[in-house]
Amino acid sequence: MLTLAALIRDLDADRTLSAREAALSRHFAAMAPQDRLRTAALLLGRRPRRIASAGELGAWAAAAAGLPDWLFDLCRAETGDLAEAAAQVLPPPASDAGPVPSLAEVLSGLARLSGAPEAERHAFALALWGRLPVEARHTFNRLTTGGFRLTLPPGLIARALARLSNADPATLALRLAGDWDAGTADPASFAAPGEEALAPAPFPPEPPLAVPVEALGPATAWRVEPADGPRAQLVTGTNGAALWSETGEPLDPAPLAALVRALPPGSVLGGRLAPGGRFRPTDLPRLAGARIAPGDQGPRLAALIAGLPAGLPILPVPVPLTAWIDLPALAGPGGAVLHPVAGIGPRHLWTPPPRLLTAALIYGHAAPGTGFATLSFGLPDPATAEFLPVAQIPPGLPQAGMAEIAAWIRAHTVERFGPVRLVPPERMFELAFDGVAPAPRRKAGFVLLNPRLVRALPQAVARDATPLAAIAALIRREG
Amino acid sequence: MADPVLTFTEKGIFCPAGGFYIDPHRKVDRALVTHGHSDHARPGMGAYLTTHAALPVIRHRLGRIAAEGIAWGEPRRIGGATVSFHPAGHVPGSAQIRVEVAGEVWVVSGDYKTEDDGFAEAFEPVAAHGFVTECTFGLPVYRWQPQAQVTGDLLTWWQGLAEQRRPALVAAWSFGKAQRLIAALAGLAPLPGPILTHPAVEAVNRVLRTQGYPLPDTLALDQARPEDFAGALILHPPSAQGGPWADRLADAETALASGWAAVGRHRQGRGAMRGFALSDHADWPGLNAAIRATGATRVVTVHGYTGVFARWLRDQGYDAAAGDHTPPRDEAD
Ligand SMILES: [Zn+2]
Ligand SMILES: [Zn+2]
Repeated sequence: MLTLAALIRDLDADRTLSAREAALSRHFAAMAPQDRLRTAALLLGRRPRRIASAGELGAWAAAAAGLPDWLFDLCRAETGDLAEAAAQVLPPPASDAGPVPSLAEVLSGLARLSGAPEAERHAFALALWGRLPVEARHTFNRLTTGGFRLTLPPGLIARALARLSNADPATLALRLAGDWDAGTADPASFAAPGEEALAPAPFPPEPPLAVPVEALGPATAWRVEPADGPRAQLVTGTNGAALWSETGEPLDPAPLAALVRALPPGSVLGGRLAPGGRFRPTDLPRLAGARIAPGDQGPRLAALIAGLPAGLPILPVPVPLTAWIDLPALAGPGGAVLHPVAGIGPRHLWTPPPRLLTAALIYGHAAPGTGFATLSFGLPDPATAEFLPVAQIPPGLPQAGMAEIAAWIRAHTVERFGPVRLVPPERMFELAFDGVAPAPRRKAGFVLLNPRLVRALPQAVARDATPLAAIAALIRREG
Repeated sequence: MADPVLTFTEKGIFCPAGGFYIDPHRKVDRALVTHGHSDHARPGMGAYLTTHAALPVIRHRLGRIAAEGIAWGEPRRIGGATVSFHPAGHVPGSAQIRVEVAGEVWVVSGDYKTEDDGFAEAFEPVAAHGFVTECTFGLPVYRWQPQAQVTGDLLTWWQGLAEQRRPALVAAWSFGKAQRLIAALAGLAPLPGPILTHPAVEAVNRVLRTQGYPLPDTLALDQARPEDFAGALILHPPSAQGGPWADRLADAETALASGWAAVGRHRQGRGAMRGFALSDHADWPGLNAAIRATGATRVVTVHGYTGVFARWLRDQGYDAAAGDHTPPRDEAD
């Protein structure tokens, strides 16, 4: 339990994929192989049934700590988390409390006591509280009440596990995503090589273009692929297929079953999952078990597709461009990927030039050390003259400018909500954004796509702000 | 009937027999000050009396003031009252103030913590009829681990980052918490890297070193070279703005060293990735133990969860009430 609790602390501290993978593999290394699978199961959402309602756990903890109900209720309000309050009000385990319970002991107890009489469940919780340090007690309480909610994708867990066992991460990811039972699974066979690996090939990088497209030479040297969905790779084997996301997560290949049947086993088809459940192929790193060099993939892909039966859910491969002026019309919501016609050489992600608006600073979100972690900006709603939030972004201004703004926020705070400070809409800024998406649950009714701070507008005042309606209208025009 | 020994007024805790205030928050002629935090030692008082040990930091922060120092435990007659100052264990020089009038003894705790941190003068219980207690962490969810455990955890975290050549950025109050941490970490040497301090921390370090508090050398952030940042532990006040060094902290992990870190919601609300529940205030068991140790039957709660804590104390049989004066916010936690 100690390792699981420490793992959860680390997973919460830094939520980037790379940090989480490192934390997983570090803590997996400290676990017995069977506990790795037990932990993986919990993190994949395969949790034990709860053995206590919130009311029961609260009553047990208050009684164990000798607290009146009114005081325990305040503790619960202070933490905002029953499992945490119940963990913290109890004294630490006595020095002669006995060994800290293992994950196996906790999980088997939970399984055994599901549906048992209250007295037995209560006795189990008390006994374990007496042997668990606070942090592990918190994790235990989440498990007992069904409040353990952290989930991680199987590809991430598989990569961390694979670091320890030399197993193939793709095979592991597919096994983790499949049907298995942590109680009976055998770690050795779990890590054993499969009959055939359905591993993805590396995704060719598509870095954003840093120069105007004209700098890329003649438009006819490039093919255009609309960036209208996530990248993916379809991998076929003799007994099945896998569909991989760009971050190495297994996706469900079932919607592409017809395409899978039409492809030779041992192929890797790269492309993009376009709207409408269709696939737009762009790469063919492997065909029928044979590797294909990047320069050959274009013609081989075209030949493959020409030979496929009609009616498959695939879109045409990217077409050559005739003139740069046509590019915006061919782009998707995320821009367009430019592929060299020759098939060799780097690709580029082109995004439409940013749109600009003038917004007022309305909130600062404080963070230690850096002053304000993010700033929120708003546009005026003409009906109420209220500034509604449309973007929350990191400051990104030169340090001196940010220090002045931070001081201004502190001096002009109208109201505080925890770390958030509300200020009057008096400081105006120019924001850039790539587009607008409807968001019915937001007050403004939309969100800006990729908003960023361009500059402060010291001369501007609130009435210079872009009207909310002008931005909302972009949604209708652009669909 | 005689005046009470202490009254709780808009200006602060007042002793009618002695004509002085304790930690007043408005301008008064005569202030007895428990310690140098800004919610206790405020500018503009006619005269200040505080411990010799607390005085240098108070002068550093308030500039030219009419102030007198007093030794630990030394009785001083002021009007009809006799006062003395006793260690509160909160920060260096911090005192509880004992006030005796016509045989009735009250103790004003100021801020206090009951665990000996090995740096500030350790808390000493003082027998009293009445006790004015702070209760910044007066809820049962606040239970501290021993300092050695918390600083050990912090060191482990720092070592992990130092191996990746990343800075460890710790928010800690510039007076008290920062120095306590530096001293405790020095006791765990060898350390994985240098300790860099925000200029506000370093200024207090200099004052305390001059006083003779055992504080190892630290490097101020504005004096540090770029290569000093890899693997360093950086101590800065929670409210600090980025300085010219901000871009060197881009890959830092952030932590909060505070009693508030005991509760996940508070830690996240303060924007820290990690929390180390290291407080300069008493936790729930500490508050209850300190009150018991005074032998007092009357308790007034100030500074924190005053109503809740007073209610709890009444349930335990004390004659307890919340003090009317509740200063806005604490500087240290
Ligand atoms: Zn203080
Ligand atoms: Zn205070």
